[in-house]
Amino acid sequence: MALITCKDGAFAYEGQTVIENLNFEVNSGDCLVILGENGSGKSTLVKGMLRLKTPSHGTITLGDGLRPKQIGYLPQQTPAQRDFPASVREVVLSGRLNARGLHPFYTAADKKEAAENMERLGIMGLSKKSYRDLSGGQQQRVLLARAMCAASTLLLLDEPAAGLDPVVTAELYDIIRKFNREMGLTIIMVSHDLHGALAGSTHVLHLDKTQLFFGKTAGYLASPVGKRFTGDDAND
Amino acid sequence: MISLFSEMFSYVFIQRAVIVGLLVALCASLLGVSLVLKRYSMIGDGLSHVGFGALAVSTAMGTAPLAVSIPVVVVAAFLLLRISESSKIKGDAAIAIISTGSLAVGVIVISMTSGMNTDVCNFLFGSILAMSKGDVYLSVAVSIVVIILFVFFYHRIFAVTFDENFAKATGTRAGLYNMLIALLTALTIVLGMRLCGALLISGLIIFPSLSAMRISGNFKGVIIISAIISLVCFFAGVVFSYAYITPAGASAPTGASVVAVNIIVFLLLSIAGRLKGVFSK
Amino acid sequence: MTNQRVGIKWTALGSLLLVLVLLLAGCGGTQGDGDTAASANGKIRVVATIFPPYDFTREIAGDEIALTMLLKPGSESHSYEPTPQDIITIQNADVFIYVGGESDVWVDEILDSMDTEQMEIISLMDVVELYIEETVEGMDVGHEDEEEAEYDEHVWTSPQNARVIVQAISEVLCRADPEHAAAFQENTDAYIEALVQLDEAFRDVAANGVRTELIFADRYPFRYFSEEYGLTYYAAFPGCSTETEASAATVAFLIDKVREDNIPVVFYIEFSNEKMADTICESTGAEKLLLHSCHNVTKDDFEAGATYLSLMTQNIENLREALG
Repeated sequence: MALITCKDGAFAYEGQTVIENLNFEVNSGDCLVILGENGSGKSTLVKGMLRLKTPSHGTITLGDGLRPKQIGYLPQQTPAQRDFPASVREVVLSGRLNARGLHPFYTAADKKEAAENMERLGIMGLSKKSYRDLSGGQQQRVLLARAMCAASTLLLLDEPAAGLDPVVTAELYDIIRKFNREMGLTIIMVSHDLHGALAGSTHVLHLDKTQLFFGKTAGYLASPVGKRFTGDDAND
Repeated sequence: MISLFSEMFSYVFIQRAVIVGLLVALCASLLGVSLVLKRYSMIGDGLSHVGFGALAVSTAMGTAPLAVSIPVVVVAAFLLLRISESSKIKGDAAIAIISTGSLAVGVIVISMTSGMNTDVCNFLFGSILAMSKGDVYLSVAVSIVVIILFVFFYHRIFAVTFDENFAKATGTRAGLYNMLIALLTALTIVLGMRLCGALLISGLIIFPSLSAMRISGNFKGVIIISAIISLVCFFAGVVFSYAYITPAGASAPTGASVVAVNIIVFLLLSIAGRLKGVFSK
Repeated sequence: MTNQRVGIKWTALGSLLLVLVLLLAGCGGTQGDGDTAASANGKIRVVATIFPPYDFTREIAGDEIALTMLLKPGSESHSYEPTPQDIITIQNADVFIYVGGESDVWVDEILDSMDTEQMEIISLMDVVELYIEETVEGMDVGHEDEEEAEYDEHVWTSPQNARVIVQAISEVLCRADPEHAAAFQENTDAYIEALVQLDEAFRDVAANGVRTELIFADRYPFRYFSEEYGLTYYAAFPGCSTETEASAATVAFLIDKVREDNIPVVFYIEFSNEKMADTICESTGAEKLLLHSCHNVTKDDFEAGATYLSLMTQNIENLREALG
């Protein structure tokens, strides 16, 4: 059974349909890249998958025992956050918040999980540093560690490389792909950065107010849409 | 020094003002950290203006001030929160409407009934005599509630303050915690307004956390330092307003003194923060 | 999104409506006695700024004139601003009575711009001996203008001064309305008798008291009164101070004074919020009592027919309790 299944999905704001004809599914172990220009409906779909928005038509169902609490999310950073006074440890730990229900304090298990994720992302040494003193790439790693703390089944990443330079971006994608291959973590990554994002992905969902393509990556690269998109990009 | 303190505290009205003030300062500083980081500082200002309007109307109607102001300010808190959540630009304008509108209503009501007089000035700038025994009990009760809730929900408040989107996505009811913070802020403002003045109470909310952020890079540190700064500044402000009298015989009101001390501390800590940065390189 | 836009619309409309309603409610006409359009009756029009001259004039002339008071009953005298209506009222007056101190600077400006040939004008501070405002120990001076010494305006608080003022007003009225001069004279004589008795009563209380010290948890408008009867005083603010926030040090000083000198009564004045009096009394066990300076009266008092005499008579009792 698929982790996420979307049938005939559509979303609307104030009566205006923003995206429609959504038919796709995400299975365990997939690495799905959602492509599309700005305004194509990507963020809306992300909100829908996170249950922050209900579809105006059709359904999005979670299957295979997947619950909202098990989805790790890497949202786009707000300017306010870059300047936030919090230690790296505090930020990463906050990912464990909903795993514990009403318990007011973090347990030893929580702290262990946070430490493991920080190790995985190579930021253990930054544990006591202030978030606002980190570089963009380091901040993204911290947020990724937080997302991992929130879930071990599915990671939803919204433009993870936004604002990062090419070297850092490449490193970030490497880490993400490693999680997918070695840990079997299902990844859904929203991007409008073609080249980096596609490598290592298993499936592609291309949006432009409607679903232009859904299928395996190889199929996408061979499709007219895919060719046009990648071809256009190369010409820029 | 000691004799000054023992002299000051021999008067009941000063004891009350200090107790209520310290408690209000504590609550304001805790809540202020979250409000400032979420860029909701204007809410504190807006609520204090609404509080002024409510106090003015209740004085004109002859009813007990707290009975009218608390509900009105709480409702305004929810309204303001709703509005600022919608869209940043519209939010600012709407807060200004409610804020200046309340101020205007308050001034008009008072001028038409008893004329611009003592009460208006006391509402705007605070009065050290304003605290009754009931106020002391009420402040203790509210502070205990604020502190307990803050401790109990500390991690959630952090999550909602740092990243509301993430918190919502992973299942935290962010809307609820925002309402909670707004509600507690409303109560703190109504309590502190008559002591420090409607125009200055938001200073108590904003300054301690801003100062703390100059020298601390983690959330826990900011919260604790903010609370300490707030308490110290309030105490210093009260002592200053009591003890320092110019040669001509003038003295400074409590609310303004407290904010002035806060500003000095802010400047000092800003410099300290810069130096720390320079030395750690 | 629509919901929030609608929400904002309603908030704005609601606030606008509220403001309009309050404005209209407040415009319920100007208070004050007297017919401003009374020329048909042939009565002379007399305009007084504050309550004491209004009351004196009322005693002297009764119904024979059309009398108006500019300061509305219930308003704070020190925040009075003349409205355009008021200026027209003054313009149409045959007799204009004002006080003449710092608060009446606007009067000179207005009179300059008017044709006052036909008007009889009298200023209270011109007819009596004046004291310069002083500050005594413990007062919260606030932001007084220290370069210019101001004269204390509350000249009518001494019944002796009231006599002189009443006489002066009477003369002016007789000049303006010779037809009724005889009646005016008779009323004046009777009223002055009453004032003399009032004066004797105060003198008696002051002389036979155990102490001669007054404590005021407010500003102090009774300079002329205490000078006349040989009393000393301590207060929170000087005479015409517009200070409202009591400094902690001042309150502390007054509390100490009350304790030191065993004062049984702490006074507050009319229109006070009594907060300071409450605080001091709570700390010392003293009783708070009103000493009414007659500067203005509340709407209720006005409608109940309060007069300078009635208010001052009440003061006698309170003074007796304070002085023992």
